[in-house]
Amino acid sequence: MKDNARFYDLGTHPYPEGSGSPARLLLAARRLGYAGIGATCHQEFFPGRPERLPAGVVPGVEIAAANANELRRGIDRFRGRVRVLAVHGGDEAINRAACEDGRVDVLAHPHDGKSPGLNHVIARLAADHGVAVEFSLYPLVRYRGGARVRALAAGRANFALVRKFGVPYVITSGALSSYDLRDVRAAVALCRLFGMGEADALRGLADHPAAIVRRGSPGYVMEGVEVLDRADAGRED
Amino acid sequence: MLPSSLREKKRYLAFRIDCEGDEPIDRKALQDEIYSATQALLGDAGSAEIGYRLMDFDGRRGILRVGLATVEPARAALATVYAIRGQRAAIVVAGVSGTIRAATEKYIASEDIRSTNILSMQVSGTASGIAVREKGDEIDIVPDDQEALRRGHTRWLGLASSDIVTNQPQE
Repeated sequence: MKDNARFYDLGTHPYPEGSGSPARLLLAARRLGYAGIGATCHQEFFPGRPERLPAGVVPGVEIAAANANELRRGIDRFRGRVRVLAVHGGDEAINRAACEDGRVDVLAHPHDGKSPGLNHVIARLAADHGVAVEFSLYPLVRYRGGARVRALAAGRANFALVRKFGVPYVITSGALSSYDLRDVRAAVALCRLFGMGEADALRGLADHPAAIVRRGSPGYVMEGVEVLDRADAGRED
Repeated sequence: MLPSSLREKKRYLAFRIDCEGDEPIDRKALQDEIYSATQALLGDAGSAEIGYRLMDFDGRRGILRVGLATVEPARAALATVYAIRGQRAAIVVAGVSGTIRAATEKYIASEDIRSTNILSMQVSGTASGIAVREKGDEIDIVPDDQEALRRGHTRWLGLASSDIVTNQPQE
């Protein structure tokens, strides 16, 4: 494994949603080979006033909405306040609405029950708007039997579409506590269960999430254009 | 016994267990959990192919032998263990080697066991409650808000030392 690789787990739900603080999850994640995590609690746990997060925890939110209009209002409300904006997927109309909006960073767990949640239309929209599809390890670790079989089948179907249309994707733990985190090697091994190769899995743990983190950082203008430190910029004159 | 050239090639996984409790994990409990997780994920055929053998285990860290070609499925199966005897736990593979000795020396010997302090102290900061356990930078508390424990399926709320606000009396 590349030593300098920067791995991120952009889908965690720390306290107050889960039972590990952001700092505790970061402590555990660093020990497991990650450079940082994204704290993407569901919107009802979003702090009223800005909280101080340790360096290495990227502030985020996961928006759950009943319909496309509600989703748009949620995106309007949170986009300026977080660096990782995820949408609680599952419903096909919501999945589609999320993938049509370039302000969305991640479509979280697009599968729901029986349907994988993605199709060729949604996958193409996601690729066009740069919305990353999430592959969560949580159902693979925590579920047994039918529910896990459906999660694996959805992962397989969705990864085939993601690969075909060049959609960005992220691999996440969906952790609610430090005991839900899995090390990078284990994440790769779990992703192999639904047809992701090692190189593909590493991209989903490093390259794609790193691009989202970079995009959300202050100074980012557009892909390839970034305002650097003012002291650096001044030296050119 | 087969001559060594005909024996199947093996790999040794050095692992540690991250868990909520302080007591050493029972060897049998760990084996049961690994076997049932593997059985659920890969079935009888997959379990037979991996051919687990727990070579050594001290209650926290150990060496697990698997077939050469089955390191990846074994990693996946071990990753699906989320509790041991009902107590939250995760098996973390520290490294893989071709011999027990190399696995022990490279991935186990250098690591020392951190001590755990049992506390009973009111804390506040990120969350308030009673601190029950401290281990390095990790602090577990019984929070005033117990709902988070139910959602996270843990016994305690996990904090880091940076979460704690200490109220030193000002002179």
